[in-house]
Amino acid sequence: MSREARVGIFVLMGLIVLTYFTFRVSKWGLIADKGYRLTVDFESAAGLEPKSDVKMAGVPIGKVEEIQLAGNRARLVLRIAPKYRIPIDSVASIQTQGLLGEKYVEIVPGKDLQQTLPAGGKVTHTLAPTNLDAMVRKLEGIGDDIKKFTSTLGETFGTEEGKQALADILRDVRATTASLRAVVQGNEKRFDRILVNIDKLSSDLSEISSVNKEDLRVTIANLRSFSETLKSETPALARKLEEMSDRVSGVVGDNRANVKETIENLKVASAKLDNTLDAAGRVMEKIDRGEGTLGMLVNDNTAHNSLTKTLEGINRYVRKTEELKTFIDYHLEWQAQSSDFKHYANLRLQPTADKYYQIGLVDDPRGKLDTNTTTLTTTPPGTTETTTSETYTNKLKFTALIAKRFSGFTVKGGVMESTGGVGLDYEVLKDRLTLGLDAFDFSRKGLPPHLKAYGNYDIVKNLFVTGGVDDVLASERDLRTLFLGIGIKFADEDLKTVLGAVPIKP
Amino acid sequence: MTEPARRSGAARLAEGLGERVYAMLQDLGDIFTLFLQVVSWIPRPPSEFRNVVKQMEEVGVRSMPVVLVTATFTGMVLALQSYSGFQRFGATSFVGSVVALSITRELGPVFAGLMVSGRVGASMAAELGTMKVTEQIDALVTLATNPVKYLVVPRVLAATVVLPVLVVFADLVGILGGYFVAVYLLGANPYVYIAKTYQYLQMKDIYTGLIKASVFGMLIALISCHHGFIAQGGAEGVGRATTRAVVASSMMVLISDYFMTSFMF
Amino acid sequence: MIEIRGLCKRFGRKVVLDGVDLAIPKGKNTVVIGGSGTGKSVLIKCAVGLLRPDAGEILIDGADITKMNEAERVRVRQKFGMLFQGAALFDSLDVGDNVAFALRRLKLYPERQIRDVVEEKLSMVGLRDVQRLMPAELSGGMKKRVGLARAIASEPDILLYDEPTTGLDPIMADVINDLIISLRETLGVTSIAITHDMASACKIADSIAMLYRGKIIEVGTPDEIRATSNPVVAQFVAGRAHGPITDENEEFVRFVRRTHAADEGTRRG
Ligand SMILES: Nc1ncnc2c1ncn2[C@@H]1O[C@H](COP(=O)(O)OP(=O)(O)OP(=O)(O)O)[C@@H](O)[C@H]1O
Ligand SMILES: [Mg+2]
Repeated sequence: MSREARVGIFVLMGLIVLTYFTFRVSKWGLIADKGYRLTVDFESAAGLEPKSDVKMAGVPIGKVEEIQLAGNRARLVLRIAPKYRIPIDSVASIQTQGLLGEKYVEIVPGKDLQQTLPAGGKVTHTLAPTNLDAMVRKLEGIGDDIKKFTSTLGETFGTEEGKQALADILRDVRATTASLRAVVQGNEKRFDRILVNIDKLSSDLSEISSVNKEDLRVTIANLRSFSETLKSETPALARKLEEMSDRVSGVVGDNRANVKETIENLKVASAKLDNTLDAAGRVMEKIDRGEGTLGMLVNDNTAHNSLTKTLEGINRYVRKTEELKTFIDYHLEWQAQSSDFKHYANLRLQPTADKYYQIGLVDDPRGKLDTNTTTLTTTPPGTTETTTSETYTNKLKFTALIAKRFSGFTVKGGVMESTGGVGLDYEVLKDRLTLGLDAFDFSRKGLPPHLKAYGNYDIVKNLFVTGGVDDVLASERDLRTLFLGIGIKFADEDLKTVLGAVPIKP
Repeated sequence: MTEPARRSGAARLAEGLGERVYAMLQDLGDIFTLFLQVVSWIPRPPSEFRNVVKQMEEVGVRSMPVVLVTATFTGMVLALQSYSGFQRFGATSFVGSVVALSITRELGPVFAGLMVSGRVGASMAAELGTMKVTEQIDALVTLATNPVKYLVVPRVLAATVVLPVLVVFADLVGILGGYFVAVYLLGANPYVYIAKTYQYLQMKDIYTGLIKASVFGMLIALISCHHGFIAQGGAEGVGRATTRAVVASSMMVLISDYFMTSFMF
Repeated sequence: MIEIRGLCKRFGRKVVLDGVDLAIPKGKNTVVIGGSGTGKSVLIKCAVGLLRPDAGEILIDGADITKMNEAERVRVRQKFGMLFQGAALFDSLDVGDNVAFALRRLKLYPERQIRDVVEEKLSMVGLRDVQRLMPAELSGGMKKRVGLARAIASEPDILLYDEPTTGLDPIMADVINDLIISLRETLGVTSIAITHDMASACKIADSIAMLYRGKIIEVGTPDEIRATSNPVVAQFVAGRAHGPITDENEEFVRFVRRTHAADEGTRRG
């Protein structure tokens, strides 16, 4: 095999591997460009990445292709494999796989199987992402509550005093039941009165308990039914009462088991609490979304609708002005050949991301060529000497361009340095580096068109450096020159608002 | 030790250090000048196509084994290390992403650069050094040939073009090495591993790695040629030039790597 | 026509050439002789512009090579062919490619003719069927002759030979001498040759110049040089160990005296 062939195979294989990577890695990976797009807006796409999964009922059906900012919400572009249809009333949400696992978009299919979302459609129903942070915070709150409950319980049952008090109560109960039996047997009328009292007491207790927790209410309910049973089944009751008090005494004697049970109850209670918090959260979300800014508006649909319309109207207006971007830049270029400085100042109006208009001024130190012919008459008389001197003088030129962008490339045309011109820019590294070629002044006398090749690099947002070759084609008269420069640029926020009020039809 | 003797020792040390720094700055200036010369000679005829191809074989094809072996083991050890580390907080599914990102962004280009510095840098410096001390470079000049154009331009071009190609292979086998260890030795789920490998990887990661590699190739060739050119004093001088070329180009790979990384990411 | 005026060259503190004046007439062979390390090689390297002299001028057909910029120097160098003392063959190329080097660079012949042209040049220096060999496979004398073939391949106007016959057997040396003469006769080549071999010098030279202590101390036809009255030149030409050249080096003189005395002593004893 010849050397050329070996090297050729080497490079070719490298390209093949690179192509393989491109296919595996670039936006699409497995589904490639097949499939259709859907969009969906979320409050936040935090944690979501391009190429994250889209799942329906846990089955991967596509990927997140792009994540953009639309207004102040996150807009996801989803690419769904062609064989999957999504009902129009489906609900999208951002979910997390495991605690540290990555995020994905879950689509809960709707009921409407007749109407499915078309390509380019939008999933309108969304659920706010269950934020891990929020959940952790909620769990923490619940944990704190539990801690407080258990510590109170501990205080009640843990101390000797508490135990003693319980024992006393139980002794009293037993004594009461013993005397109760005697009383019941002797005096039914009085007994009735007692029962009425107990009933009244229990209802009083019930009132108090409404402030308290579930278990208390249960106790009271028991108490009430107890008093009722007592009323109807008087003879058997005394025995039952005795048994019960015995049992209670046993239960309380085994203090620990009692606490355990209480905690069990608390768990149930905290689960309920969680539900309550969820519900509260949903209300808050509703309020956040402006679906009902005030409590009284929540159920009032007409007021709510009109408010939404108003908000949308404002949104549209604001978005309009947001899309028009204005840039002002100024830069100077040091021309190596002549050691002169060339200054540029530009105003760029960008109504949409793929289009802009630019007007500007250029102060060119060699903008004007003066040819002076001096004829000298020298000695001996009759002989003349003609000298032609060429001098360059400063000239102010202007620029007015229209530019249109196609992915990384921007094609522009219009007036460049006061002559007709066209140009092409290529933007890489997230548009921080621009490589460009401008051609203008096509009708220069005795010279090829003015071609300028340049590269701009944004060091930081408002500062950029530039460099390249100016007048590449002109080899004569030292016009071709390397240049280096530095500049500043601003996307002027104030100016944007002012101009936004003026209707500009792109 | 007496006072004056010690002082003179310190003075000598300082003087030596000063000389070192001066020599280093001079080298840097010479290398930059050489770079400008190379740039200015590239477009001028005659084309050095055959020489470029020859150097591409030398720098690229022949460096394949060493680069592939290095990259495979780098990927393997990365998988091993990150697996045992990630196991502690149950994130082993990210091993694939870590291996892929580390290899493409950093380790692939840097290890390939270092290997090529050692292998190719040494041979370039030795070859050019020998040519220098045996007057072959003078002979070139008398045969209507600019040594920079004939010797340096093809080496710089070849290294600049070929290093990214090597790195593409290094990326591939590094990822495969990691896959092998994770799936066959550590029992990771192969489907999840592959999915994770490509999920967080972007073309930007690969491209920036390749751009780095290109710059490394250019620097290695320039530095090695420079040290070959300034060799003098027979076989010993050639040996010295070779050592310097390898040390300087390896260091330059790491230094420039830092700056490029900080600029590009 | 090459004219060297007041040429000075030193390396560090060591002064090698200290005001050399020498005129090499067009179409003539000039032989430079001189002791080892006197700066003969340095002289011709200055002439072709490989070394930059510290002072003086070197006029090649009237233009001063020391004051030229690189582009002009490159153009002037195309008039030169040079045989290096150590042959300086490119050891990554085979013999054929070495000889064809300038032909290819300057595109003097179409590629299909090159092999034949190279074969012809090689036969002029007495070599056949060596095109495919690598320089490492050649003997020292063969390398020298390949180097000569490479120097003459592009048929330059001016040829510089640094010891063309050193390391060759007497017969081959004479073949090379004849070649140098015939190049002058047939092509009118101007040349400077460096040699230590007086027989060869006398055969090829139109004039001989002696370099001594950084200066040209005598120039003349071979006959004039042989009949010189200058004791330095006379010692060199005759190749005697005793004389002004060796006397100058005191160490050396003492060494010679001692061996002389020892000789006397043994004779007496
Ligand atoms: N590049 C160099 N750097 C330092 N010194 C040098 C250099 N080239 C030559 N010299 C010195 O210049 C002197 C002359 O060298 P040159 O090679 O011209 O001698 P020469 O006359 O050709 O001797 P020979 O007949 O042995 O070839 C020598 O003493 C050598 O040490
Ligand atoms: Mg010599």
